[in-house]
Amino acid sequence: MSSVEVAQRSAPAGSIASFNRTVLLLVGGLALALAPLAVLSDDRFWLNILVYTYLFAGLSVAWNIIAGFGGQFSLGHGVFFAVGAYMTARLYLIWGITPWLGLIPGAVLCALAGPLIFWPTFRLKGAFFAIATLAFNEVGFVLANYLETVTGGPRGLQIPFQASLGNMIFAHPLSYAFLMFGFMAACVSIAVVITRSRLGYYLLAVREDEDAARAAGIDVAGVKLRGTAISAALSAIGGSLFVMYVRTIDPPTLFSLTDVGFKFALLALIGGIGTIIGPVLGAFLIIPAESWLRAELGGGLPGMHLAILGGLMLLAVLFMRRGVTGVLEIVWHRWRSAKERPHD
Amino acid sequence: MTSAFLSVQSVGKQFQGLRAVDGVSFDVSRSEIVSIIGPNGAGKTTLFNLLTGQLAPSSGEIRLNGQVLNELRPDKRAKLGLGRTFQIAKPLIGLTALENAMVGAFLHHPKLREAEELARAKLDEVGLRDRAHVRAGELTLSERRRLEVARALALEPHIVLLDEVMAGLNPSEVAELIGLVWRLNQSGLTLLIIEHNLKVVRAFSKRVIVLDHGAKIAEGDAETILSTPEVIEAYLGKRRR
Amino acid sequence: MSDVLHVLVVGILLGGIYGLVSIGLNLIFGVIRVVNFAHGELVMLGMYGAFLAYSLLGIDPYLSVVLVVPALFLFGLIVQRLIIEPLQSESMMQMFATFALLTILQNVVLVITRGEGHNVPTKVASLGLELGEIRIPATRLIILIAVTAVAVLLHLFLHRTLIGKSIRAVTQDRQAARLVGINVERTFMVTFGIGAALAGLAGALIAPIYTLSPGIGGNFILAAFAVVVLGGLGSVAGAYFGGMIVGIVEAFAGYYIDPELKQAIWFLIFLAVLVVRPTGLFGQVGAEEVGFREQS
Repeated sequence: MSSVEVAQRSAPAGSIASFNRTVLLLVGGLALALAPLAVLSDDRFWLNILVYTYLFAGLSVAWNIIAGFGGQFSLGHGVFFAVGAYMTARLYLIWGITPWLGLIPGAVLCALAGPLIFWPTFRLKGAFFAIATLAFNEVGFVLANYLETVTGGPRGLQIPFQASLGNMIFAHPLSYAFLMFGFMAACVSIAVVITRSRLGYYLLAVREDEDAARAAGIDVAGVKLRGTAISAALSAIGGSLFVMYVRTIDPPTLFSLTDVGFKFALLALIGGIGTIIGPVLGAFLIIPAESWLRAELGGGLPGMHLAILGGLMLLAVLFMRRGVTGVLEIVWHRWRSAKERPHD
Repeated sequence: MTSAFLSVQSVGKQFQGLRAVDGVSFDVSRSEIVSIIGPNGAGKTTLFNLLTGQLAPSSGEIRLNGQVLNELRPDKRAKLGLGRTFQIAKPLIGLTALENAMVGAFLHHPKLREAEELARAKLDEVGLRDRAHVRAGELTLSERRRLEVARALALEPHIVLLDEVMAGLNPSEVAELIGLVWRLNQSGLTLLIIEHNLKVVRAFSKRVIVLDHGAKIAEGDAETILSTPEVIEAYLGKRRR
Repeated sequence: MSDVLHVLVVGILLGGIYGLVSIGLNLIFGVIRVVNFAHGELVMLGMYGAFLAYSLLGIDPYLSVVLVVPALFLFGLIVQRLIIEPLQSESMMQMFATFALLTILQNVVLVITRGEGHNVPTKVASLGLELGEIRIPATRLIILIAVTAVAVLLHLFLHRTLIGKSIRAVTQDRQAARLVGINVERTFMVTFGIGAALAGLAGALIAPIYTLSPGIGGNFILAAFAVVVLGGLGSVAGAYFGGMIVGIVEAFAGYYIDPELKQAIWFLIFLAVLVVRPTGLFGQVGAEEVGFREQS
């Protein structure tokens, strides 16, 4: 019996021991993720990077719920992100509604409309589903440009700087960093709850084999819809927080595949798709690296940092398919079995 | 009006130009074990797919416990108590054996703890207790077959459809599985089995149904059926004169 | 009436471009079942290839085809062998890989060109055909002729040559093809090579029409997917007529509804096709499923 099996025997999935352990890991992991804040609390450059890191970690975790767990590779999550951003910005600019409340309508809209929009495409397999969601992203982009009265068209929306807690506008990036950390923590916690629930197991089953899932009594479409609803709502909230940080949004920013829609997927890939911590790890690895690369190379050689990033992505796909988590798992197993083997 | 547990009446399936299943009728009573045999391509798995809902019948009616199943999706039928295994085993590869079984168990037990307990019990029943935490992809063929059965049992079904569950197993594995099926039936489970292995068929089927080219050509007890000329011909082909 | 005719002509010419760009993608997607996000970049490489031929050797883009097409064929072989093949049967990873390729190609070209736009002049630029009041530029007419020729030649290739037939065999059933002795991996390499070569051809031929920029591939990739899905996987006729339809619909939508919305319109059509009849107009029913179930 391997050590992994021993560990799982002592804490079976449904037991109190397992629950305690999960909570412990969660709290510990989050505390660890919070640590950089303590160290970098004065450095605006790195704080900015941390803000993006936490935000995108959360967004990637949200994406992973339907894509990594549920196996539905969506390139359309940028639409949910954008809806959250536009909705919150609009409500704030027109009626002065505080973003803390203003993020709710966007989330609700996406939770309801997201599954509705995705529903016809659920019949599609793998690549076709990806292309269909890609098409949604493009339609979203075109509509965002077109519906000027709602979205401000190509010029987008700008939120004037008026710092206050109620406005969710802060003078110091440290406050934003805490905000985004909270978002990430919420997303991760929700993901953990899902994996320990029936929905989580059903998502995995749907991912692995839809026919077998049906034979096991699973309403496959319903599971996909529920997963999408949660994933979409969280993405929308992320968008709402985003707009209150950058305070200026336009269609190219929100619907950019490289920076938004595909980024969620990339982070999950690097970290490990289908795990909870994967997207977080991916975010912590890629976003600082990308920002640093951009700062170093972007000025002199436009595009160089993206070329390098693309190269890394390719290498990761070819050699590290299960992401960093996969690599860590292999290392862990090897170390463990080396320990168990008797020495000469 | 029949009071059979599972009632299959004139069920047929037509694909373009091919009648895969042709007006098949039979009944299964509670706690019976009924075997379906027939040469390759006779339509046995297609019949199963009609019963489980993966395919919609072109004609006929299927009733379980009096309820018409025709329009119901596979997952709805599973909820009504119809479990099945697949001819090519479909374990959920990325999940452990326990998680596989839990997927089935969750159907009637939404809570994690209960589902896990039930899943463990079913793994125990099929003899996979020690392999609970092994990834399904790493299980042997025999273990995968048993995992399929465990997952189906975790649904707490009234009837289980086993599709060639013995295929590819060595004699001792077959004997184990026969024992398992026997025990399950003793505890009241109704079973409908597709089998090629005639030894298995003889071992526990009081009733055997023979399909050939989509149609039922014989029905009766194992000994009689297996000496019927038509059945032998169907398997071996007509003798040349 | 002449308005309608004019829009129709514009649509057909546009359709020719879309068809030419998509025909290679159709082959790749239809045969290997990989979503080649980098296809637009292959076209872009063809365009820049034509530009290089012009700036270094003074060759007219239409002649540069002779250089560009084989170069991209080789490139396609390499991509398939080194990137796609190792990821056999992992469609999600293949998508990541081709997206990574897209990013790399776009940005490497960006770095090299330093963001300067380029144009490729051609001797036939001023020529055109007059149909009543409508003027058809030679540059676009050439594309229409080219796409028709390519479609016919490709069809013959797939149905009359041995390699072509093995490509079709592999498209229908990989297992069966392997059993018959067809080297599936080599067939895939050739297919990707041809697909890339066709993309290069398209790029070289449309170079005189557009201003070159590293990101220009993005203009085509989505249209190309729309065409492929609309026309049907693996169907040459599908790519040809699909391109026409997309071009015509876009022209009419742009004229009668709103030019700003025209991209959204054909995306909605594309979505509708995906949902209602994923096999497209000419594809085999069930073809869209075959690639994504067990195929080894």
